[in-house]
Amino acid sequence: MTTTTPNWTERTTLVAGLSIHLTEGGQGDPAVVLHHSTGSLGWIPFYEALARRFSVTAPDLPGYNQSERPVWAREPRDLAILMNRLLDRLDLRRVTLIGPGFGGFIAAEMAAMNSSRLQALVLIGAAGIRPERGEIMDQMLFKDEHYVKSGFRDEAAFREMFGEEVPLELYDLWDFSREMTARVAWRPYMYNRRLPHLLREVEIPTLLIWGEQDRIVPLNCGELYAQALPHARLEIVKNAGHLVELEEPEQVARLIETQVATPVTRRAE
Amino acid sequence: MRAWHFSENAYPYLPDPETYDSIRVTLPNRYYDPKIGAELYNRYLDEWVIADDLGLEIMANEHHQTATCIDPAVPIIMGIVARETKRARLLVLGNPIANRRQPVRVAEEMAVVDNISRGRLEVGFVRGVPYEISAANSHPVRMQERFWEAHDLILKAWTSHDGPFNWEGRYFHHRQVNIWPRPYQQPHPPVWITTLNPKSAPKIGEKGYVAACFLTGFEGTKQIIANYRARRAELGLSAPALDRFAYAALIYTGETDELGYEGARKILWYLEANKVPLHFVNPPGYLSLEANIQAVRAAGQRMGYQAFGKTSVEEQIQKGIVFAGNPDTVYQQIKRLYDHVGGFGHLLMMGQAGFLEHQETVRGLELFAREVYPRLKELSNGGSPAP
Repeated sequence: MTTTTPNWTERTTLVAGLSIHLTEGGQGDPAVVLHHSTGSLGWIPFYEALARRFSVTAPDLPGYNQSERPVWAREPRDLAILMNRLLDRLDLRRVTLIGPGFGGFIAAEMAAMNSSRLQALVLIGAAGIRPERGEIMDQMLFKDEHYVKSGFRDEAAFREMFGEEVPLELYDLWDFSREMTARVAWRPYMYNRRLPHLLREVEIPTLLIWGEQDRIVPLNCGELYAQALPHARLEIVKNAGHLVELEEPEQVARLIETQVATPVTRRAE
Repeated sequence: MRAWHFSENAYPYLPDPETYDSIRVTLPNRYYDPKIGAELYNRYLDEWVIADDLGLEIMANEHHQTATCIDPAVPIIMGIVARETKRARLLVLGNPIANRRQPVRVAEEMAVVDNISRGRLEVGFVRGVPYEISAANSHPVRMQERFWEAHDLILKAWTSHDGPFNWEGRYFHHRQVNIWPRPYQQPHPPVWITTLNPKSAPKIGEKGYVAACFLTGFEGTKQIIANYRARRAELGLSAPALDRFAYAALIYTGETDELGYEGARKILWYLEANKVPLHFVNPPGYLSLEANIQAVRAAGQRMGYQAFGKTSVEEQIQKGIVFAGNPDTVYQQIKRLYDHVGGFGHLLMMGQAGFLEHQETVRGLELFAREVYPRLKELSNGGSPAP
């Protein structure tokens, strides 16, 4: 805990009548970062690392954390439409859109619908495509703590992040988030069969980042994303799990900076 | 007062609970031996026929993916019971209509059983306990809304006789609903709704359905009945007769108090065996957010295993969950709760559970039917509805 002023600010804006909470910081080209289905953890080191090169906007997805909950929403596409409206509201251009996990599913849906405001797409351990091998781990079948723990490469990494005793506020956050996730992603679980077809003409360069030990969203999903998108490259991070941007914030931020500076696009073999 | 015999029809021959996470949803069915199971089904059906012969009414329910109840399809069970019995009223309590995908099919099933029984069916609708959501793979959010829309569609299917109608609902969509047969009873079989929560009582009261209180004890039951009455009074509707209220308990009648307790101890398996982890007990959206947060905090680091856990007959008698002892003792215990809550017209009696064997079960039912039931009938005939 330092006594310097925080490197980020918070505000709310209105999208389709819903109050959306934003956390913003950094300088440079705009980057919009979405979060996992377990909710936002605030201004994490990954955002701090990104903020050196980008002007980072981290919205709480509608229904999560401090953003108002759209009780009428039925699928991730509804949230993606709202997030595209947010880009319009903030009038952001040449955006690097970054989405991990469920946030990646939303980001992919956003790009499928309208990539005119996007410069780059970054999907980190992203849900959204049904794996051909393995299954996306179903958080509805497990206790929240077990699910989050499975997102790390090992228990030690989980403890390093959350401590020996998980704070009660986190249990609340995970449970609160799980309900919203259930509202929009219950069935099918965490993918859309139509999405790969709709990604075929998303021309913007895409960087796919996967932890080698991702036990939540199989690496196969990254491969399928790479096949579906015309300009995509899959980067595998060694010794990292699903929550690779929590485990290796500097490395992941650097991969993104490099990609945006010199977009390398190549279909996976 | 009517007394209804029921059992959840468990398959209790399981390994040590230490070896499994949950008795519901995930317990592999390799622990179910069809040879044993087949005998159990036939025995449980025999016991319902015996209940019919003894002058008791009959209740059955359904649960899924659990050793605590091997009846996943109550229409099948009740169809058999309808054919095998002569006089008993047949209560399905209930159809889990928030989990059933096709309400029209529920309407058809109940109409068939009503016809086979020549109008002895009473139809209950339940939201279902939370672990049923996992088994049905149904959406835990918006269950209440789905429940009532399914109810509306079923009632309309039962009471429409002029050809097809279309249903463009929020949760259900069905073209050309036109069920054959239509129910035997007109306009439709009596409807019951299970309620565990005083907050759901008002809506049931508005409809005038039977409110079935399951293991709600002294205070919960009193509150449910009070809320039901209050709502009807508020709307200027007629005061409900006692037959609008049902109370369910675990009941065993023995020749002596000792024997009564012994039987009840076996029936307590129903509570003690219910080992279910928190994520099944508390799926997202089943409870309100406030209630949810409380449940998560209460469970904390450990899972919500064994919601009831080890308990005693005495403890559960105190709570009004169990009635056990010799016939007079059982009568007095029932009366105590009856007086406290303002009276009720139906006693739902779990007269068998767990390892309570056939002969023991039948003895308990016989003693109840012969020695307790007549006094209960006098009780509610002599009394009048509470003001």
